[in-house]
Amino acid sequence: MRFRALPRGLVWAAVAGLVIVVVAFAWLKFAPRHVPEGQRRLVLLDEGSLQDLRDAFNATAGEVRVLALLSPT
Amino acid sequence: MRGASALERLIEESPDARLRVLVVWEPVLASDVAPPLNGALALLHDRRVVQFWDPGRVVSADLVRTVNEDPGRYGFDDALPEDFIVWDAVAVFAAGDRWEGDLPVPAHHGGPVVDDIDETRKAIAGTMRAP
Repeated sequence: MRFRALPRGLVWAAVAGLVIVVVAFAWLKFAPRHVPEGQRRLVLLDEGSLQDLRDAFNATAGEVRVLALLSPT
Repeated sequence: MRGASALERLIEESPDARLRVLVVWEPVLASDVAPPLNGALALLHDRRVVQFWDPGRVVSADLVRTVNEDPGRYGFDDALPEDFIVWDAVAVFAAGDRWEGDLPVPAHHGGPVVDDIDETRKAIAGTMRAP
């Protein structure tokens, strides 16, 4: 069985493409998120912090509240 | 995204209303691999908005659990499937309602948000007028 080496340019292009994809994904995943000015910071919810949402709901119990569940894309 | 924009426009219609908007972003679509980007967060820029990122969809799961304990209380004929995902949905709660254990019964709920925005507007107005 014989293998033919890939052209060096093609290898570098593939590596560069892979790096770009990895960097883009990392940026997408970990870039700092900022809510608009005047709002409370973005709150991360999990099983242990669901109470944060309840607290926010109850903290303004004197007001009408709207709860919306949305997909980010 | 259209739901978020529609919701923001609705809030802006009543700049002085005593209103709090809790927005829970959750991954549902295949493209939802990360928290909402700043552009998405900026769609809801009113100061009365509080935004949450719920990567494990714990809010949806809690709502399904709550509804299934008593579907009729929340206006459902039957229990929801255990794996049901509550998303692109909106609910309006009257002043005075508190969330202790189970979510209180909303004055209105519906979705998709962009299609339900007129009903949401009416519910907010009606709830504001209620004594």
